[in-house]
Amino acid sequence: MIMRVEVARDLGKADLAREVAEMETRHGSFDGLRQRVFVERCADPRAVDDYVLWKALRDEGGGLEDRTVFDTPEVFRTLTPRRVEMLEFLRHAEVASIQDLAAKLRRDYKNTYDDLAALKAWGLVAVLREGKNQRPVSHVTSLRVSWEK
Amino acid sequence: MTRVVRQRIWVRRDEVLDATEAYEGARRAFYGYTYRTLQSGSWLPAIRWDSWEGQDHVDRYDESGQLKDRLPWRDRPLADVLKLVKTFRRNLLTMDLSEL
Repeated sequence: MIMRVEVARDLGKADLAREVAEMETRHGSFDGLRQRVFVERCADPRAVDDYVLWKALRDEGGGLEDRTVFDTPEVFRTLTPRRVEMLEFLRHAEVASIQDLAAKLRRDYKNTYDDLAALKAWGLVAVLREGKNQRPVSHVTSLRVSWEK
Repeated sequence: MTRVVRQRIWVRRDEVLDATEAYEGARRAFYGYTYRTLQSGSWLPAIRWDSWEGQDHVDRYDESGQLKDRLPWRDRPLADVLKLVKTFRRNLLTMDLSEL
């Protein structure tokens, strides 16, 4: 039996717009990326995957489902009660900075920072740089543990 | 109308299988499965199975993430590729992938 943790994320319009903005930063324009992957027969996996996604999002009705699966028990060392509480809090509330998150959770800055770093290493949260602030965000909407053969 | 399903499957703390699949209705129109390892803070591709331009193939990359070789491959589902990755892990880099 293998223990598996599956994390699902709901992606709203703002999230999809952010995906497109990130692809623009990585590749310039959609046409430029298309040129790269077709004409240059690009062997860059990221470019091909981005092209497939970007094309789908440009099409009417196109969409994205995003999932993270942990096929290793190592992740359970990271998912302490405090960190799960942090994930849950970030799911329902917006914070302006790490300091703001620490204040709202009534925890000290260093422990909050360390816990965010641990969650970030497994891709469970992102920390967005906004001016002088680092803003933690989580799109985790469900976290399911199962056993599989 | 295309629906893209993107998954990051963590095999270990420093090894992932990134899967991108595009569906048109129930049909899987594209797949790309990339086995990456974490090296000096960057996720570098080691092996990539994909169906780009309708041709199933498997690519191998060197330690710096540059394409090393490309072989034909027969289409297999994500579950099979994950099983390969979990069974052989980095040893895949020295195996004959087209025969697996």
